Amino acid sequence: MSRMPNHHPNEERLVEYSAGGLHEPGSLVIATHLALCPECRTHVEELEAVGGALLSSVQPTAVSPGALEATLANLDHTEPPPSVAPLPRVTGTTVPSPLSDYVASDLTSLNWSKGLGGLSKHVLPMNNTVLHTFLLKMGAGRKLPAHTHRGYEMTLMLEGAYADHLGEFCPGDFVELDGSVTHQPVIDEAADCICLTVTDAPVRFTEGWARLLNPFLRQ
Amino acid sequence: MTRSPPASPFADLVEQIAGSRNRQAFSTLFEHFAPRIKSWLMGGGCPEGSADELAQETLLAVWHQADSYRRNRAAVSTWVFTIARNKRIDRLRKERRPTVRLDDPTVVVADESAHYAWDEIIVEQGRIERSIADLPEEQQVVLRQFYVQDKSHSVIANDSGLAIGTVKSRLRLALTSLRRSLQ
Repeated sequence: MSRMPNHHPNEERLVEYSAGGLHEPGSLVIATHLALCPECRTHVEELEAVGGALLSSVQPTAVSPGALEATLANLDHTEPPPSVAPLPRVTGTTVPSPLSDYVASDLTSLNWSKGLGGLSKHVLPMNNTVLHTFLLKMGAGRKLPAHTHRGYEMTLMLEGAYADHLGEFCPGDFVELDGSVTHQPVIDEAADCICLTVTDAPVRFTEGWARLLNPFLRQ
Repeated sequence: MTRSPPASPFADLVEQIAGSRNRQAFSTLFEHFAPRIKSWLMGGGCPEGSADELAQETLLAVWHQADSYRRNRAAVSTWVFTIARNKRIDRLRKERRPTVRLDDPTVVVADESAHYAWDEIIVEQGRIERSIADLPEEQQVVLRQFYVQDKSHSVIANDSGLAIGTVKSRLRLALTSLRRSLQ
């Protein structure tokens, strides 16, 4: 039996996801966490029921005359396609869905761009240009230099493990950090650590030689 | 002691569409939901013409996806809400909506007892609706900002001039009250 995650998104994020207000990169992180976390899936079903109740209780506005007849006349046609083409479905890899659709292969066969200090990065295709969405690989046994987060950063652990002063993080665990936190993760020695990260501003290393990594994470 | 399950005309109608492509059943669902979806969209700032179109498209999706509805998973209003929400994201925000695929082998499952009995869902949905109406106005406002105006908590704080902590605590109080009403 798989280990259940210990670190979960906070309620605001689950509500934003359920209500539809969360952007695509954030929704990808939440939905992939949901694939690994039955507890949060149940929570989201409850929050969607709140949406259903709100929809039921709005004051109705008459639709345009003839709308029902027009829709009835359309029933025999196929459903119009979405305006944003869906990604081809990818199954059969070890990557949990829906993230699997964005990476299209196992994580080991991805093109990783290597940086200094045992860090590698793989950027995910995303129309959202305000946020950075990427997979980050950190070498087994490494100790990352202390860093802080400008804006916010959502992370979902996919492989390996790391520990910092906030706890131990294993596959399925979700972490959200902002600029108030400076942390120094230590990667577990057993395997490389891979996580999915969405951030609205690059990480900033705060000390010594590690500041050389800042340009790499800004790309 | 046996209880007869509460009547759910909406679920029956969706199943009649799935089973026999019943147009009368569709018309009844349309007349109930299309005007509410339109209001809900306009409440989020959608212009009336687009709200009309999206309401019709949502109902068209109800027709095409009726066989994916499961009464032991959600009330019809919740299922329709999720379809309308996804349409809004696609048509108005031009983004994809990453969603869990429950049939994917990588999905981690708990034991199935977490699933509700059908009559619980119907009773609970009614209770949630009544409890929302009983919430203090400021909590109802925050719920509507999240669900109707599809804002993030930081945008809500920014637009309303409230501290982020206040938005979060109003949301939490509202959800705690709703949860208490289900016990």
